[in-house]
Amino acid sequence: MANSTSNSFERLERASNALAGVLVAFGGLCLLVACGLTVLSIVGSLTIRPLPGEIELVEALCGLAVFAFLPYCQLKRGHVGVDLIISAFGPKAMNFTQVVGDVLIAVLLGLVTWRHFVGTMDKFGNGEITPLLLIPVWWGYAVALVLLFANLIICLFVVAADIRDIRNRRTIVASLGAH
Amino acid sequence: MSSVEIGLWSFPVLILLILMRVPIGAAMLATGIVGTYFVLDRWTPVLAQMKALAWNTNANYSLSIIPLFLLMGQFAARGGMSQALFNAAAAFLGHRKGGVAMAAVGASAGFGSICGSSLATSATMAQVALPELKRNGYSGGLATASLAAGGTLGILIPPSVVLVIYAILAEQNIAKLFLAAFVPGIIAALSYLIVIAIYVRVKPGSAGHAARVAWRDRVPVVIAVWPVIAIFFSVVGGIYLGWFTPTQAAAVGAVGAGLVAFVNGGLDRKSLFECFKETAVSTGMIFFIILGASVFNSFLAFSRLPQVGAEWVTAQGYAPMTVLIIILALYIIFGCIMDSLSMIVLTIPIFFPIVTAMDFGMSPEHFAIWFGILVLMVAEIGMITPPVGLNLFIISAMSRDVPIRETYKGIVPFIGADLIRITILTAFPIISIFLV
Repeated sequence: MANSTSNSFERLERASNALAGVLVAFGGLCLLVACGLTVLSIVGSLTIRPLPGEIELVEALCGLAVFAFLPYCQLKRGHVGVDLIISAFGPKAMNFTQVVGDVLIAVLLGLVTWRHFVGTMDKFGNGEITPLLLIPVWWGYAVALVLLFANLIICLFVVAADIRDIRNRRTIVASLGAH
Repeated sequence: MSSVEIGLWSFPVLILLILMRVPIGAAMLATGIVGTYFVLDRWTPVLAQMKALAWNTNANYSLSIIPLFLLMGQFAARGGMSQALFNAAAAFLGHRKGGVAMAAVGASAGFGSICGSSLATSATMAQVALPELKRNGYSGGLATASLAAGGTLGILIPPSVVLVIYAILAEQNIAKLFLAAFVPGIIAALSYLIVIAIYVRVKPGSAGHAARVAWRDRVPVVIAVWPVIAIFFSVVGGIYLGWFTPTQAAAVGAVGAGLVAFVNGGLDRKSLFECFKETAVSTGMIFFIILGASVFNSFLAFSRLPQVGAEWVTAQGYAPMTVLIIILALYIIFGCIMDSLSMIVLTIPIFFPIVTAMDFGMSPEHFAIWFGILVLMVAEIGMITPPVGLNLFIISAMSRDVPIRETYKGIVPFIGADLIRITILTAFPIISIFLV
C-alpha cells in the first residue's frame, strides 16, 4: 500500500516537473520572439519604419514569459525568504516554516487566479482592445489564466511534496534565488 | 484605529511573517490585501484591484527589461565571456602581488557591464576564477571574499536590475541612472583592487605568485574581450545616445550575447533550456516580489502613512543630512538580513517621499539620482554582509573546501572599503551626478 502511494506520488512529481519544464520552454521562446521583434523593429526604424505595435507585443510576450516562469520558480522553491532566526531552531522548524510559506503562496495564488479569471471575463465582456494593433486584451489574459492555473497546480504539488518530505524526515531543499 | 496607525501596525506583522521565512513577495501580498481591507473597511476595492493585478505587473513594458537582462546575463555566462575577461585581466594584473585576485575583481567588473545581477556575476566568475586562485596558492578566504565582493559589481556597474526597480519605484529615468552609476561602479572596482593590494601585504601568506605575461601575448587575450565591449556599448551606449529604449537595449543585448554564445559553441538546445531555467527562477522570484510590493504599496498609499511620515519627519526639523545618514545606516542594518531587491521594494515607497520633501540644495531630479546611487550602494553591501549575504552563500556553496568562517573573515576589509566609498559618495554628490 505504502509502496503504491509513493509510486503514484513519483508519477505526480514527474508530471509536475514536466509541466513546469514545458512552461519554462514556452516562456523562453516568448522571450526569444520578443527579442527578435525588437531587433526587427530597430532595423525597421533605421530603414523604413519601426514595427507597429512593437511595445504592445513585447510587453505581452515578456508578460506571458513571466507567467510561464512562475511555476518553475515555485517548484524549485525559488522565492527567497530570510533565514535569520528559524535556522537556529533546527531542521524541524525550517521544514515547518517552509510548509507555512508554501501554503500561504498557494492560497494567495488561488486568490490571484480567481481575480484574474474575473478580470478576464471583464475584458472579454467589454471588448477592450490594445491601442495600436487592436488586439483584444482578453487574449493575453486568457493565456495568462491558463498559466496561472498551471501555477496553482504546481503550488499544490509543492505543498504535498513538503508534507511528504516531512513525513520521510527529510530536509526540504530551497534554492537560492538570483538577482 | 486610524488608517495611519494601521499602516504603522502593518510593519511588525510584515516583519514577523518575514522572520517566519515566508517569502517576501508573499508576505507583502498578504499584508497588503488584509491591510487594504482594514483601511477601507471593505473587501471590494482590493478584490477589484486584483482583477488586473497579475497582468499589469507581469506584462508591463518598463518591467519587460528584467527577464531580458536576466536572459542576457545567462547567455553571457555561457558565451565564454567570463573566461575571456579573466584571461585579459590576469594577463595585466596576474603577476602583481595579489594579482590573480585583482584579476578576478577586474573581470567581475567587466562581466558586470553586461550582466545586471550580483549573484549571476559571482557565480559565473567563481567558476572561472576559483580554480586559478587555488592553483596560484591564494588563501581560501581571500579567494572567496574577492569573488563575493566582485560579484556586487554586477549590480553596481550598469546595466543593473536593482537600479531598474528603483527607477520604476521613484519614477526616474533609467538611462540617467545607469549613466550615474558608472563612475561610482568604477570607484568600487578600484577600491576592491586597493583592498586586495593591502590585504596581501598585511598577510603575505595569503597570495601566491603568478608569472608575468609578455606584452606580445597580452594582445590576443585583450582582443578576445571584444564581444563584451561591443555588447556593453550597444546596450548602455545605445540607451544613453537615445538609439534604444532601455527595454529595447536589453533585447539587443540578449540577442548579441546569445549570438556570441552560439558562435563560441556554448549554446546548444540543452544549454539554451538551462539558460531559460535559470532565467525562470530569477524572473519568477523578482516578479513575485514586485506583485506583492504593488499591493503592499497601494495599501500604504491608502493608509496615508508615507505622506504623514514625511510630514512628521520634516516637522521635527532634523537636518536633511542627518535624516539621509540615518536612512543609509538603516539600509546597512536591514541588508544584514534581507536581500537588496526586497529591501529596496519595501523601503523606497516610505523613504523616498521623506527625503524628497527635504532640501539638499539640488534639483529634485539630481537628488533622486544621487539618492538612487547611494541606496544601490548600501543595499549591495547587504549581499556581502554576514549572516545573510547571498553572494557569500553562493561562493561558499561553490568552494566547499573553504570554511564559511574564512569567507566571513576575508570579506571584512571589502565591507570597510564599501563604507568608505559610501561616505565619499554621500559627502560629494557631484561624483554621482556630474555625468547626467
